[in-house]
Amino acid sequence: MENMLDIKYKKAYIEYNKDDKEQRMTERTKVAIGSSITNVVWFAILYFLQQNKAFASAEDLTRSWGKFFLLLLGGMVVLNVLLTIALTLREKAKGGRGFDEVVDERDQLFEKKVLKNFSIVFSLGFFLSMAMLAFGTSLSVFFSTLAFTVIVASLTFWLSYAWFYERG
Amino acid sequence: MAKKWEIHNEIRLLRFLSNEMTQQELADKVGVTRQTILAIENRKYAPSLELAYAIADVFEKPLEEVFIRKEAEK
Repeated sequence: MENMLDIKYKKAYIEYNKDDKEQRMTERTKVAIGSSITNVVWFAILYFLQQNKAFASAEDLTRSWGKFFLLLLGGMVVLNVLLTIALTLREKAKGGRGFDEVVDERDQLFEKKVLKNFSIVFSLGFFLSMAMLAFGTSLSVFFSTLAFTVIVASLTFWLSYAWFYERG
Repeated sequence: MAKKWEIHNEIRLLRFLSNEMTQQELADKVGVTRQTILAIENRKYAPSLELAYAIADVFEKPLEEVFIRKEAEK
């Protein structure tokens, strides 16, 4: 098909090819990497605070860990939303389009793959937590394992996103 | 032994010949993102049949002139 190009058009075609450059990093990749970092920081803060608590009873311990998980998951969602808004506004201020409104077949394929990775990691971690409980480890160890399962699964989710969008 | 095939495409050339259509313009016409068009052109993503036909329709070409199957180099 390249024979369709006359010699006089070839130079224009070469110049034309130079214009279609991929942006250095897609918006979704920036959100994914940003979310990974904010999730780790948020987890570290909450986990550090949780480790420094003393509990009078097992009931207090379980209630405290319940609050921990609510704060962890809620915080992750809120931070992700804020990050997405901030990056979109910044991109639009620079004259870009911000987030694409279209979610196409490639996006849907990546979402399925990312969810698959997340599910595998979370399932393994959950299984490990239950196994530890079954073998008589303390409640603190069980909840700590579950907490690390959540953060590792979350990182798997976001880093998978970044990987798929950058690799193409 | 079964032959191995690669799918190449002429989308970039066809865009150029269509009044230097941009990737964004083609993406808008077929309802996908610019990144998807870029990935297809660079052979990093294989479009669905539906999308492949939609792209061919934009250029008013048969599918075989837009997406070309070649034997993989050994």
